[in-house]
Amino acid sequence: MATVSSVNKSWKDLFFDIKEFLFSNLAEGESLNLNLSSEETHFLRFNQSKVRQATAVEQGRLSFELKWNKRVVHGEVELSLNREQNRDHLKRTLESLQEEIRELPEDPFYSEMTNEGESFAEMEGVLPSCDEFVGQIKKYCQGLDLAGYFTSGLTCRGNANSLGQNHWFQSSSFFFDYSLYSAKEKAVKGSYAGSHFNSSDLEASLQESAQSLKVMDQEQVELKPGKYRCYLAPAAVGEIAGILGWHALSGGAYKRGECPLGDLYEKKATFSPLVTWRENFTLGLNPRFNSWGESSAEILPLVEEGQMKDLLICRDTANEYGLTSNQANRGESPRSLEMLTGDLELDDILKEIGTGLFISNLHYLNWSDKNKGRLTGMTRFGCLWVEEGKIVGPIKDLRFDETLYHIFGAGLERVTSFSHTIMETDTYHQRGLGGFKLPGLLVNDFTFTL
Amino acid sequence: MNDLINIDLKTLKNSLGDSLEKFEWWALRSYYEKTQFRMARNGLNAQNGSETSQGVMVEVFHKGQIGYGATNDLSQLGLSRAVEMAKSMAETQELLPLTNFDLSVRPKGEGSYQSHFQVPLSELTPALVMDRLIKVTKNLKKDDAVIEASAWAMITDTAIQYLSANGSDWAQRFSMVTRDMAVTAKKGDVIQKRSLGMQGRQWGAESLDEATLLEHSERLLKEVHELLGAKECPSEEMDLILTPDQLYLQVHESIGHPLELDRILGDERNYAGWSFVGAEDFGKLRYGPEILNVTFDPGVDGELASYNFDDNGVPAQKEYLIEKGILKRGIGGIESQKRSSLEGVSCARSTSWNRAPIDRMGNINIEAGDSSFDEMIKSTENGILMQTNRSWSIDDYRNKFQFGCEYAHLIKDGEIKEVVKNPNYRSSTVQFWNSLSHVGNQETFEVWGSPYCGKGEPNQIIRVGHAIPTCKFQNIEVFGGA
Ligand SMILES: [Zn+2]
Repeated sequence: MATVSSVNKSWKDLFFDIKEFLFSNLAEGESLNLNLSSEETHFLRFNQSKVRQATAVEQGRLSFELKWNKRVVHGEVELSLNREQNRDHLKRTLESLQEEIRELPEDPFYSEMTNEGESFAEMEGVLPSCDEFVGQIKKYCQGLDLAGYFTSGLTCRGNANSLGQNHWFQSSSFFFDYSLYSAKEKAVKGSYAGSHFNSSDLEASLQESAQSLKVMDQEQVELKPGKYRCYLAPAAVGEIAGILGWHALSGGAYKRGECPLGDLYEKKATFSPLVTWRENFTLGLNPRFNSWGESSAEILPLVEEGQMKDLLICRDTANEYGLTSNQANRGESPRSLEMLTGDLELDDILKEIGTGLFISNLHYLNWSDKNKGRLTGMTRFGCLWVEEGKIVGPIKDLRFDETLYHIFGAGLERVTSFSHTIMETDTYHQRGLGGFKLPGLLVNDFTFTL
Repeated sequence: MNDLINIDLKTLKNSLGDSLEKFEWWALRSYYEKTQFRMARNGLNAQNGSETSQGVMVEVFHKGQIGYGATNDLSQLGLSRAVEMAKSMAETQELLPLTNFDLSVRPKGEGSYQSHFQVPLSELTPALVMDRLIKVTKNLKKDDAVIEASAWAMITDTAIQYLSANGSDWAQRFSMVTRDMAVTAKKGDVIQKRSLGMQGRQWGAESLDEATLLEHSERLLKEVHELLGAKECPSEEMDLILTPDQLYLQVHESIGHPLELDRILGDERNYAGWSFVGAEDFGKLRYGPEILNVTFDPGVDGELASYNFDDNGVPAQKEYLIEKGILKRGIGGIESQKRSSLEGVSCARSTSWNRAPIDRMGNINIEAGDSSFDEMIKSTENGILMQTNRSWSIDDYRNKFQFGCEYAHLIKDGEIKEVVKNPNYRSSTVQFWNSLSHVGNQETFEVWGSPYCGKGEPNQIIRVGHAIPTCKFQNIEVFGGA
């Protein structure tokens, strides 16, 4: 077992050193807000339970928000662990932003920078070395066909502005996002994520997935399009939660006429009283501070027993439309969404489905009629046909096309008594942070179209 | 934004002394990119930002494996760390390798590439770009029904260099602009949106020509008003005509992705997905009728993924993927070609300096046919003409898809009739392409492309090009909104 490399100690020092340097180069009347995101990551990609590609990355990005005379300009550059190289190009970056801002028109919804205080959070981890991890895959995946990837290392986020605001968040963590395949090309999804790696937890995760895969060897059931009673497992609900980040909970999107939950917000529609959604930063998946350094409430209610309480509103939207900010991020997407549990026990799920579908995962969701909250997507990985409470076999994948108002409204019958934490596995450009904590849902008359 | 000095890769290589020479083979790939993003909304300045990115990917061939180490620290110390990371990754991989390549997967390449443009991007000053975007959104916002008008431009200058132990030495420089504009209008409870459709190409400052942008804004404003008063798209089976601003995404999702060899080999099963296409389908599968010809063409002027080398350093050339309707060749780089014993193309590409190359689309095009637009309309008894993508979704084997468009006209008895709103269609890939009845001629042919194709573990976005004529399909399931 090894903790992360010692180089990382310097990211925090580096950030606080650099900010002083940049702030000392500001001209009269200028203010500067800085955000750092950096990581030291190992990526191991697997196919057929073997290593396809192995990449180690050391990277940092520093973004600038410069304000002057009712004007705003943004910039983003590389930040490396090399102090001398940084000073040089950061100074030139600042100079070019100082030049550009004087060329730009005023920002129509300008607000002065503020000092939003300080916060520091550092989560230590125990991560395996890559060699160790590969050794365990070799041991536990005999006879299994596994595809997926292991991502491990340090992730940092820093914020500081020239008015004295300071925030730091860093965590050492890993995730192993994988799927197993049967000879008939049927699959189940598995994942193991956290900050303290333990080989017996990895083994348990792989064994549970291998067990589920056995069910997939039964005869495939091909269903006709139509309305079916469905159980959506937490991972499937996670796919729906993911698309909520695409305008469904955004105050700005509502004002621009493209909010899928606009009718819920205007109380023209309601969800089932079984539905309570909130941002819950006590889950520790994400820093509470946003890119302006504003800290969200630890718990921010969004939907309470079917009634919408709040959309996510960021500083820019608040300024433009005269609303009150709830310290959302610029994209007004949930960062740590939690749906509260209900009373459907794990052991009762098949019985309560009766005859219908057990849906473990969904894939490639998109709005099909955005302003009506309608979305389409596919079933994926380990979805089963159930008759009279008994599993008949895996299904041939189906396309659904259904509204959020049905899934969380009239169609929602039960919510499970347990929930799962679904960690962000996004690694576009850099490792993402955050996640969801979600229960499973029993939904009647779910519409499948193809 | 400041013009960071372009990376001098040879100097960096020299700074490492002979530390690379202990490996059987090595390569250094530097990636430098500068992007400006500017947006106006409702006749006002909304967003001004610029980004630069620069770093180096080190590849070493060690213990029979290729390991990758990436850094943005371009000092001798930083690069030495990346060399060590690449070495240790090769050693990890050697414990449980999927493949054992030899050095034939890294051929020697020499030369350069430069995007063609009429006016260099440097002409686009921040103030000039913003001034044009503001004018466009003022024009879009000129009546009370409009609740939101926006216009944006992303202006990108990219330089890639590559050096390797076996004498590869090449450099490529890309000048790219992606642009879009949109107008959302409301009447009573009806809200409709009309946009240009995100359009990415390799071009210069001519991409933001003021008169052209204003012309588009006039048309979009007129069309969003038509949509406010339009009937819902009917739900029935009918003939479907798709213009390139929708068809490019149809090609991307239902021809491009399923032909990727790394999907067929199973690398992507856990993320982007597998493919309904199997190795046995090449040379046999009838993907569409005789009139369907699909190419990988890295040489189309102005198309977003034109280049001379992929990121494994393999020279790129045009190839037929589907010829006279028959599947011929996959979209897979040299590593996937070795693994699958299938023919591929030069398409192993990385999103930036910090990711290893994987199989990606480049320019995936439908070759122009011989039908005029008028012929397609005249031959249609009961059909619909759909324009500009607004929704897309397809399964992980790339079979069952559903697309939505912004704007459509019904066609009755060979004539274009009224506008309908919320048009959608759904089908399955092979069945759909085999219902193709007309491929448009050169006059209907347009160059489209997107900077945002996502794939890979770790995740990577990539720029793809699609040059496409208007096409007609028979008896497709069409439907309207909620
Ligand atoms: Zn794509």
